Parts: sequence; C-alpha cells; structure tokens
Amino acid sequence: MNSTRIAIVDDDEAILDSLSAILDFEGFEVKTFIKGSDIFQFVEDSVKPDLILLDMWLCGEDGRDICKKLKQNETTKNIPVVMMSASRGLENTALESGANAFIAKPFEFTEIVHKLQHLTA
Amino acid sequence: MKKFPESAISLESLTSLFSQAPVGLAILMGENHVIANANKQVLEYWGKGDHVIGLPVIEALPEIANQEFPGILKKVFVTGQTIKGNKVKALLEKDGVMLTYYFDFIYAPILAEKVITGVSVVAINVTDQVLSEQKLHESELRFKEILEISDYSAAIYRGEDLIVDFANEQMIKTWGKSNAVIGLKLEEVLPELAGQPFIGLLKNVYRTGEPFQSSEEKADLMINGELQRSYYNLAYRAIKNSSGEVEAILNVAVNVSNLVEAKMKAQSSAKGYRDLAEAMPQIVWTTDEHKKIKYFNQNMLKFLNVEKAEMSNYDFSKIIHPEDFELLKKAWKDSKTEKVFFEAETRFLDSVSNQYIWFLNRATPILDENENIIQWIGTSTNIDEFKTLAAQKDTFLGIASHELKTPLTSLKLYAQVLERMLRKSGDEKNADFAKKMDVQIVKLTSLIGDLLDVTKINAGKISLNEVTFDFEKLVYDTVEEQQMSTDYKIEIISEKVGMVFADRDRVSQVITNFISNAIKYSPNTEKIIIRVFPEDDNIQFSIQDFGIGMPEDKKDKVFEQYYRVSGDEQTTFPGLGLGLFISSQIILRSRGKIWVNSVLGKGSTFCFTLPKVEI
Repeated sequence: MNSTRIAIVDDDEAILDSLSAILDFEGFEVKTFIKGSDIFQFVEDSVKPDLILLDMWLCGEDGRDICKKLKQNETTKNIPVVMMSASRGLENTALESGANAFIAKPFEFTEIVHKLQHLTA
Repeated sequence: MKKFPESAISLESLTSLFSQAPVGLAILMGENHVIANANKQVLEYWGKGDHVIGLPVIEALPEIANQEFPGILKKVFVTGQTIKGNKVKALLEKDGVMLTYYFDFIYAPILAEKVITGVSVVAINVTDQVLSEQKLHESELRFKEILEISDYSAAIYRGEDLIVDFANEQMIKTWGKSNAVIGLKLEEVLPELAGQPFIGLLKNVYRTGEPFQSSEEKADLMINGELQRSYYNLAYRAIKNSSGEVEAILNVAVNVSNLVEAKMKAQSSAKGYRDLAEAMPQIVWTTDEHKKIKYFNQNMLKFLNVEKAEMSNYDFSKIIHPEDFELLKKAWKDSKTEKVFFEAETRFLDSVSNQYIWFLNRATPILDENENIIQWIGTSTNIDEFKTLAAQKDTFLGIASHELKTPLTSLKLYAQVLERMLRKSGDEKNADFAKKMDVQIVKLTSLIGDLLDVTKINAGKISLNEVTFDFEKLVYDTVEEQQMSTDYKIEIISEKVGMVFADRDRVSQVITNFISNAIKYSPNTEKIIIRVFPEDDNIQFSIQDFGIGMPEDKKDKVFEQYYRVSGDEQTTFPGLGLGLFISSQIILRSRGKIWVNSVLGKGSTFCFTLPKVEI
C-alpha cells in the first residue's frame, strides 16, 4: 500500500474526481481542492502532503501565484509542486514560479506516476 | 530696226559706243563673213587679238566650222532674216584649249542699197548664268532623288497655285493616288482638303517664305473611296530662287498615326486605371522615385481630411504611430535598395476619430530599362477590423484549446482508471474496451492539437519556445513514450550528435508524427528504423518504414496542407492530412530541412535536419 499523500488543486470537478479516482486506485492518499487558496489552510495542518498537483489556470486565481507563495513559505517550500495546464508552452513560466515539474493536459497516467515517484523518492 | 538720225550722232560717238560696249559686237562682210570689225569684248570672247580683223570668220575661228554658227550666219546673209540665239553653246579655242561658252546673240543682216552686204553680230556671254542654272538643276535633281528614296512622304508644290511638281512614292501612297497627280493643282488632287487647314497653311508659306512645322496634325484623306483619318508630323519649307523669291514649297510628312493612336489608347487606359483606383475601397497612391506622392485617390483625401491642394506639402510623419515609424522606414529602405515589393502594417492617425487605425501598406516599385526605380504604385488598406478580429480569434483559440482539453483530460483519466479496475477484477474484455476508449481519446487530442496548430501556422502565430537541448536524448525519450502504445519494433541507430537550439516539445511532436505515420502507412510490417547522425553543421534524423511507399511525383506533396497518401481501393488511411504539414512548418521555422525518400511498394524514409549548436 502506497502511503504517499497527494493534494490536487484544480477548478474542474471532473479532473479532481477522475484524477483522485485513479490515484486512489493506485494507492495514493488524495485530498482535492477546487479553490486554490484552500490549499494554504490545508498545508498548515500537521500532516503535510508529500506533493501538490496544481492547475495553472484556476477560476479567478493564477496557479503560479499560489506556487510562489508556497515556495516562499518556510513550512511549505520543500513540498514538491507539479504544475498542470491544458495550454502548451507554459513549462518555462511554471518552472519560473518555483514548480518542480510541469505536465501538459491531457496526460498518460503513467506519465504522472513517473513524475510523482521521481519527486517523492 | 530704227535708223539713228545721222545728224544727231557723230561717227566718233558711234565708234566709241562700238568699242566700249559691254557686249560683243562684230561686223562680218560678204558671203565669207570677213571680219570687218570686232570690238574688244567679242575679241575677248573669241580669245583672239585684232589680227583676225580682215580674215573670214571661219579662218579666224576654225573651231566653229562644225558648230551651228556658220549655218546661222549663212542663213542671215542669204535670207536677210534676223536670228536670235538664247544660251547657245559654243566651243572656242583659247590658248590651245577648247572651252565651252554660252551666248545670247543677235545676227542681223547689213543692208546697203537693199542688198545684203554683211551680218552684224551682237553677243552676250551668259556662260556663268547657264552654268549656275545647270548646277541648280542638277542639285534639284539630286534633291528629288534623295526625296524619292526617303522613308518620309515628300512633295514639292510650285507656284502660288501649288502645282504638284514632285511627289515621292511615299507621298503618292499617303494620298492614295498615282503618278498622274504630277502637274495638277494640289487642291484638285486632294479636294477633301477643303475645310482642312493645309492649303491655307501652304499658301501662307508661299506668301511669307516662313517655314511651318507641326506635330501630330490630324488629316482626313480620301483613300480607296473612304475618308480615312491619319496623324502626321508636318514640315512646309519655302524653296527660293537665287533672287530669294519663293518658287516652290517642299512638304515633308511623317505618318505618326500608330504613335498617336497608342498614345490615345494609353491615355484612355490611364483614365481607366484612374477610374478603377477611384472605385477601389483602398487608398491608392503613387510616388516618384524620391517617394514624393504623385497620385492619390479620393479615399486618401477623405482619410486625411484635407483638400487636394494641401497634398503636395503634406507631412505624413505626423500621422504615423511612433511605434511603427522605424518599421515603415526600414520597409521603404529595403524596397528601395533591394527593388522588392514593399509591405508594412502600420497605424495611422484618423483625423476624424483621433484614433490610430491599422493599415496594410503595399507597393510595387516600377523600374525603367536600366533597373532604376521610377515610381511606386501602392495601396493602403484599412485592416483595423481584421486586426481586432484576428486578436479575438487568437484569444478564442487559446480558450477553445484549453476548454476542449480539460474534459479530454478527465475523460482519459476515467478511461485509464476503468481499464485498471477491470483488469484487476479479471475482466480483460471490458478492460480492452476501456483501453480502446483511451486510444481514441489520444487520437481526438491529437486532432484537436493539429487543428489548433494549423490555425496558428496559417495566422503566422506559431510560437517556438527555443532552448538548447540534447537531441539524441529527446529521440530516446520520445521513442520510449511511443513504444509504450505500439507493438511495432522501433529500432534506433544513433551517434552522439550533440545539442540543438529549438522548441523541444515541437521537435518531439515532429518525431512522434513521423513515428505514427510510419506505423500508419506500413500495415503489413512491424519494423521501423530510426537513424540519428551528424551531417556537417547539422544533425540528421531519419525514420525508415517498409510500408506502402509512394510514387516519385507525390513525394513533395506529402508536406502540403490536407494532403493524404491514398492506399489501394480497399485501404484508406484516416487523418486530417495535417501532421506532415505541421511538421514541415516546425522544421522550416527551426532553420532545418525536411524531405522524404520513397519507393512505391517498398517503403519510405522521412528525414529532417536541424542546425547543431556548438557548446
């Protein structure tokens, strides 16, 4: 049983639902957030996620700003962030905002698993 | 002949008159014409001294024996008739040389008691006059000969009545007549000239001696029974005699009808183009070689909100958007130095709304025979609405792309989780269905991607995020990913090729496209060979399949938009026909080359190169 804790932030419910379903199936412990700002409350809890999957274009929020805040915070800066987007060519700006990796939607599940394993190893 | 009254004139005065007269005088007596007297003048004509006095004239001047003079003298002596000669030729010997003279003379009988006793001779030497007349005649003949062979129409009209004295072949042809016109009045030859200015002009030249010259003169002449209009460059020139009196008029004419008609046609077509320019919705303009505005249509005045008179000094720099100034200047400079088409999108200030409006400015330089620019012909098209729409379209495409991919992402994840769950529960059949759903989602994603890419390419909006990366590693990564979803064996034969500077994702997209094409078009084989190797300053990538191949004439077409290789009657290959077009655009924009080698029925090898980066 994989006990890696993954937090997913995306404004699309179907993404949250499908992604958590498959990660859950593969044994990850998943927590989902439809609002970006909710992640801050969550990470203040004692049990921090091992990795955050963060959508770039959130409703009314920019994932890159959230990423920057996480990376500026002493308690959260070491949590790996994988930024996701359906828009091409945003990898550079994602990495500039402090993300550890970028993944373009739609993706193969194996692709994301590789990244998760690599970053949480 | 009147007799002088004897009492009035003395013998001395007669003798003096005889000897000093400026005409030759001689008295020849008897039937042998003995020279009884000869004045100084006649002796000079004869070239003899006064020793000849007392000799018969034939002895004094033996050279005239075979000329007409002895006969005339005899006739006067015998008949008593006075005979006049006009410009009669005489050959006289002077100092042993025979010379030609011309004389006017009067031979009159001398009567004594009504009996003819001798012949009086009065002679005037007119040799100089005759010779100059001959010369004049000869030069006139030569002149006519020259006119005869001239390419111009030429005619000479004599006298105030303008008698046609000469007309060369060209002129006869111009008139539509024959040589029978020579000797006739011009007015009779060409009655159709009545009401036209030519006869009056010719008569005026005759009266005043002043030459007349005119270009592109319109003349209506009756040719083959039909009044035909032609245009001539004309010259009328007075021909004067030695006394300066006008004797005739020389008329030279050049038919310039073709030239005039071409000019009229050009003027009418120029008018046609001007009308066209006025009807166009664009601003139409021309400039001289120094880019000074020469022509502009009404749209220009309307946009600038100025009067036509203000255009000659209009300062265009004040309406050009400051940000577009340098671009416009460069485009002009390039067009001028390279002599190439000028094109620039710039914003101009609209005087009415005080807003900048986007214009597409295009002009073609017009060159003379020495390849020098003589003018530009240009248009300025208002593309403001187009620009706004294009920006809206880009935004729309960005949103559409994002919004289409979001449900695909969750759909794909659901398919994948479903497949995993079914496989775990041992339901392989339904797991395969879920896998097939996933494959179809991949295809749908790829099609959406292609459509968006091609729209971007056509709009010139494809952006490349160029970075320096290890090319060989990219090939291995991409192949590894592709190998997961195919049973085909993708073999890689590679050498260390180093780094390239390009868009990693886009190059990966090209390799993926090459691989999926190789798989698609080789249905009966399961092997694909990829080769990566350096070639001069480039890296070369090739992918060889052993599939259906294509004929020679289709090889270049595969990179065209919407082109698809067709199989035999039973086989069709799905797809939009955009993949290779997009691939070629990506490679070309990355400063590389792309091509295919293929043998029908044997397979194809798709290749591309990219410039290497030296680290």
